Amino acid sequence: MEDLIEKLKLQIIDQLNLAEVKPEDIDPGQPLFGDGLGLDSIDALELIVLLEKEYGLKLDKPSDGKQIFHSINSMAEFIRSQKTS
Amino acid sequence: MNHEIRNVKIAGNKIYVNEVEVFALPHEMKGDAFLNEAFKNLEISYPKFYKMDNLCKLGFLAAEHLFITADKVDHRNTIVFLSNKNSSLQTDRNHFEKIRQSESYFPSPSIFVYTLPNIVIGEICIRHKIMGEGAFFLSENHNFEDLNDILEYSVNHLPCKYLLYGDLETENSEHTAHFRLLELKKKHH
Repeated sequence: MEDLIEKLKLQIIDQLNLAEVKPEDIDPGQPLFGDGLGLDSIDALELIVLLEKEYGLKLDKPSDGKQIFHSINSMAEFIRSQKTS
Repeated sequence: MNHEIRNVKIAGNKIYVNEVEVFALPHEMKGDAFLNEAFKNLEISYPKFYKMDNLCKLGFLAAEHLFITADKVDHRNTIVFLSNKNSSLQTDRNHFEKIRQSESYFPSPSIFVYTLPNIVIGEICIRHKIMGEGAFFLSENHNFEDLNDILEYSVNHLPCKYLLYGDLETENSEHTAHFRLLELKKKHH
């Protein structure tokens, strides 16, 4: 799980062009949107693409997005659960 | 007569404000390197810059130098007219590369949103809280004289006191821009 979290940090920094952010700056439990990393609606779409491109995962229900993309921890948990199901 | 408050030129990896060089990089540093280094030189925090395409980065930098000490400009009454020849071609090509292979079809939303040249006006207006009208013109020769009628009509009929106008181009890793900020004197009919 720790490896997946660290990998996600690097992928998010790269995919979202977060040039001023280092992996160690990101608390995996902090919210990705709003007061946390401050991502916007376009970033949300990029995260959906990232899940599909890197992990072959699609969101069946868009309404699940808010929970899945709450933080890096929740993204990692979603990826783990899909891979083991 | 309209009064020019300030002009900014970017060409050959150099930035000039009122014909005075304010930033330069060796010519070998092309493409993103020049734009990103010029941004760092401004010493401002604006993470969104790194998400922009090159056309928007170029426009952002030119506008930043244009407004850097222009405190008296009323941005609620500023209009923005920009122009270029190649539209958002560089980003259009980047987007095409993302979607050309059907087996790896992953269009990038953050690239796609920049496949219109007028987005640069939006980025500038968001940054400087400009609330006036904006328009982006495609012109083969970057010749604002062709737009004189539109400019004159707009200046005299829109609620505006200031005009940012200019052209900007990113082509083959060469970035050129010429922005002017004018205080407008309206004709009375």
